[in-house]
Amino acid sequence: VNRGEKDAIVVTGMGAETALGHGTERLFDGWMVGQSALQDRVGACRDFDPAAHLTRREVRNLDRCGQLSLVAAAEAVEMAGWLESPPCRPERIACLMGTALGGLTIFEKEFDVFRRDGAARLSPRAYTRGMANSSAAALSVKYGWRGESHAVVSGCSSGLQAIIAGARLLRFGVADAAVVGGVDAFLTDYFLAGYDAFGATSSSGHCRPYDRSRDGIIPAEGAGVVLLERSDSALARGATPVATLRGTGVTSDAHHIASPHPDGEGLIRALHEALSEAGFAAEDIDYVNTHGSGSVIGDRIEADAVRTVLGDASSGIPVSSTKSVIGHAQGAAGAVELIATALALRAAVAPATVGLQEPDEGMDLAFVTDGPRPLSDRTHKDALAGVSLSFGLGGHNAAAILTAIPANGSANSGSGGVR
Amino acid sequence: VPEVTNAEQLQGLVFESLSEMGADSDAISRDATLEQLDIDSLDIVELCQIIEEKYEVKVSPDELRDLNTVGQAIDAFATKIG
Repeated sequence: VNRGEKDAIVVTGMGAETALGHGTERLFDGWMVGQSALQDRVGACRDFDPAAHLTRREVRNLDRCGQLSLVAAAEAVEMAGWLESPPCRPERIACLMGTALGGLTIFEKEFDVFRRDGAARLSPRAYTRGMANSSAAALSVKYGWRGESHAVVSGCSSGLQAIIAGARLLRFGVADAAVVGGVDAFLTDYFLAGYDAFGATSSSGHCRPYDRSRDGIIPAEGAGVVLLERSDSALARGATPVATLRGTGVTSDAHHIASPHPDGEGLIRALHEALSEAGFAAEDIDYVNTHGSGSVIGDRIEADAVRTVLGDASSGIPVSSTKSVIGHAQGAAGAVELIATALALRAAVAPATVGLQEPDEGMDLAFVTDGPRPLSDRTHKDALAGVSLSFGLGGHNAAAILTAIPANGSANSGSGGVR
Repeated sequence: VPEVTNAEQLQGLVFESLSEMGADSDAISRDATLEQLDIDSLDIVELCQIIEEKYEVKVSPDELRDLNTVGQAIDAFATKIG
């Protein structure tokens, strides 16, 4: 992604709605104190109040995905100062939102109406509320972003893949700014039962990534939105970049619709690609934010893949999973976790994988447990570098490498950001 | 207690529905245009469904296509209801 400092792709705004609450600050602060937002086997956005942020018309005409997306985007736009100082002409702003299922829950309700009352009573808005691209479209309509816009649909890696796809539009020169991220909200009995049916969910109700006792994922909902611009134009309009996107990798396992490749081959390639694009060696990485969902098989494959790629350097690189506190927000997860990675680098601290007490046998990584761990710039890059990993049902793998200068400006101190 | 006439009842239902759809309640009147109230084609479909359900008549959104104001829509519904 990154050829030179001038046309480096930077993150200038971020917004998140998660089970920990409204906004990126709640996400990070909650994670820092080790507050799990998981209740009753789900990571629901219990405090999300669309009416507090959106017009009555928006609340009524959008499903929960669209609502979460608009609220997350509002935070990002505010952070980047886009309303006062637009990044470019609206025709050059792309908008790609990832989602695993989109607003499918509306069809669950509408099918009941159809069977009970017939076709004439179907809501004229069911289709537009439920379609996978409804969040991307709602954002474009609200803000007038008129560049390329669509949904990226790749299961649980959708959010990160949308971010990477947006970055590539900038690199390819067909957009000068991109609104990218992910969203999902389908915590209904029907969809949860469907998830249960293929054995992915935790029966204990606890999310314990990499732990010996882990027994599956905790489904969650949420949205993450990131704004991308080129470094030179962002600086020219007076923006303060939060982080720089240094390298990306996207691959497919081509193995099985539900199971990751047993050797983690696709994930390994994605991480190699990201390192190669960034021009980084394993030693340059200061933090890894893993997919770490609590999946019995997935966690092992991921831990092995990270160990394979980062080699001996991995023993000194803190690793943690954001899903341990907010659950698995499906298509939102990759975007929310890239945001969490940026926040960790900015604070120069890796929050812990909550619930991880005893790493499973053979998982040989520097897992952060028992509270946050300071991050330090191991190779004196004057910035901290972090990896965000996501993989999804269908065998989709994505890796992104960010760098950020800690907010206190001292990447080498290693402890200044601990709050 | 003065009896609510059918015409008043119909107008009340339309006003209430438009408000529910997100139109500014203070701006809703017979003279307000649907465009001013930001009522779009999908809202019109839904309004027809509400009238159909309440009055057990068949109203096609196509029949409202050329109408501009809330009053004209109410009159069109009133004709259907008879």
